[in-house]
Amino acid sequence: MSLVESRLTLTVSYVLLGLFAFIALFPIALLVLNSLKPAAEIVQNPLGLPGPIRWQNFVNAWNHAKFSKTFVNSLVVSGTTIVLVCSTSSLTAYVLARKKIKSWKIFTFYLLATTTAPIQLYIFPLYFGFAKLGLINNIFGVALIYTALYSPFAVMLLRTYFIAVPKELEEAAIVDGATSWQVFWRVMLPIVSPGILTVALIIGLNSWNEFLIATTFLQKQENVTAVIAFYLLSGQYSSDWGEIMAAALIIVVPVVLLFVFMQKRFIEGMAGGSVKG
Amino acid sequence: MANVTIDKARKAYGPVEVLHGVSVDIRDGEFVVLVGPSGCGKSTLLRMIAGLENITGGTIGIGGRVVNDLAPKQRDISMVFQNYALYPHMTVAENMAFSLTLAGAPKAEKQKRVAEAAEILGLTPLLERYPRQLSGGQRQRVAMGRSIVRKPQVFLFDEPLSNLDAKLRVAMRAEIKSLHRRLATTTIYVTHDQVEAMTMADRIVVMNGGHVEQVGRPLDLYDDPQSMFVAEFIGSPSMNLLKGRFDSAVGRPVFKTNDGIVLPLPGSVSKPSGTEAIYGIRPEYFTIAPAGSGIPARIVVVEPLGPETQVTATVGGQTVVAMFHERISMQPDEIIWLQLQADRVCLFDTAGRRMT
Ligand SMILES: Nc1ncnc2c1ncn2[C@@H]1O[C@H](COP(=O)(O)OP(=O)(O)O)[C@@H](O)[C@H]1O
Ligand SMILES: [Mg+2]
Repeated sequence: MSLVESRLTLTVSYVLLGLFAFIALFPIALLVLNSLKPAAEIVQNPLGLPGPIRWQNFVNAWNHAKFSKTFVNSLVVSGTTIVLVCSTSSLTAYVLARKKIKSWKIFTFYLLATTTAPIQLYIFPLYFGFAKLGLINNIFGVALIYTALYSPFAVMLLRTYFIAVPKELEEAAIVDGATSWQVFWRVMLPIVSPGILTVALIIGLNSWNEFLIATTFLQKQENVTAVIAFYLLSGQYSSDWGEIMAAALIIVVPVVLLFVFMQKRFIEGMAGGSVKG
Repeated sequence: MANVTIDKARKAYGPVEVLHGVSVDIRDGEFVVLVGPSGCGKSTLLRMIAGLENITGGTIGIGGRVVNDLAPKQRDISMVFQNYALYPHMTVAENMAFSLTLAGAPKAEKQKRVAEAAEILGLTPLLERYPRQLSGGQRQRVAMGRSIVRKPQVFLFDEPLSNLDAKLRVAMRAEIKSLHRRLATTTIYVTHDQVEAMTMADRIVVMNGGHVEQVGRPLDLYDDPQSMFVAEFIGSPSMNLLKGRFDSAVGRPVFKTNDGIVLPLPGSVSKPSGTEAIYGIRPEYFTIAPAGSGIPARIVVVEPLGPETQVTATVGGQTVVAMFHERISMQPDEIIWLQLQADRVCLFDTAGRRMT
């Protein structure tokens, strides 16, 4: 078998990849195009280029969705979630990876069970609990729910990273005079940082986009997240599609930017905890 | 600088005891090699000295201080691991300075000590590199540098050369040895390779199955093994061991192999006829006898090595290996007549303990 791909194979792969790229990018291109058109033009000619470019859509979207407030809410919720999940999960994962815990299998089962249970199952009891605690309309309360929701995934992923770190590295640090905390903070954490970055990205993305919990627990206009503000746009101002497209674009931009900048390290992270000593 | 006293040290993992009362006294400045087959407990013992494993029984003392209950960092030791265990996110300089950083040493002090160690090990041009940018030999040196920088009382090495190729291993062997000569720090070095043990050690501790078989200087172990295990383990090719019994049929005490071949004994030996024993003789103590005299051996293989020739042959039903300085042009299945130096014979009882 030759290692060099034949011309035909190459052509077929490029055609297929091109097709997939088109399928992936077409809606986004449409989004960009239509965000620059007035509503009437979108209905008439959704695929055409915009006649006069209408930047006003973005201004309207920003104002009507109160992005100056809701965007900050989203950032705070996502940021808090990331910090909480990364700090608690990395500690948990380290312990689970290193200490020989006999019931690890049971614990894994528990973690998996919690990830597979649908939100609808416990959202009502949770709501009443939070209501009692006065945490409704509190964005930090929502971050707390997200933390609980995403922690199992983060623990499972980070555990594999910690397991991949050779035990001798810790022992070397101990002999060098490190305390348990210093071993964790100065040796382990930097080594598993690609994993933490991956977890941060995935969780940031999920909490940025989360809808059901956010609508349930955040009910005041000024407390909602960007995604909910976006949702409220339709209907409320008689559905200006140009404006809605612009709002969608605004919401997507931070996510896209993050992925573009982090792409390389993100892929490294997903490729597994390949730590070479 | 410190001596290390290991007194009846025992280690059990749950119900399984892997070290059964090991006692070794290591003098200040000595280079001691722990050697033995894989799984005999060398690493376990070293890790107990380091404080990475707790001590089930007995005591370990460093510099006259019992360290059983001290944390590794209070024992003033340093350790080099088989896979180097360099911190991948730190540069060579940071790796070497890590212990000083943790101890809160001032920056100037750190730089000075790292520079010194780097100078000794030829690492100066590599200080800003990361471990992944280094070759195996360089990583090995950084791991040693990390030990040196701390100026500990005792250096511990656990098979530090096993991951290197054969040529580099020989070079690093010499380097570690000269480092020891220069620093004169007490060193405990673990290996399964008897050649490493022979070439590097001031004294060797041969371990087997969680016991100490024998402690001694390399050539003392070679010439005077106290057990069959040591006789076989030290030296390559290893000592020939032939089964048989004492006999005096020919008027003087001799050894008769199970196949009835008569072997000479040192004059001082006199054991009751018929006592079973094992006759040990190293390959280099054979010489070629004139045809028809001495011990007849049927050649199996002749291996010319250049400076010497190694001959594998059968004496009766048992295989012996002989080393000759002359070149030999004989073919398999020919009979070679051998003589041996009777004063070099080691006799073992059937339990494998030395008799004479
Ligand atoms: N953590 C452990 N748990 C149980 N048994 C162990 C453990 N570490 C080592 N052993 C056992 O102790 C014995 C000695 O191991 P070790 O000291 O690593 O041998 P070596 O001489 O090859 O370095 C082996 O039989 C090994 O299986
Ligand atoms: Mg070992």
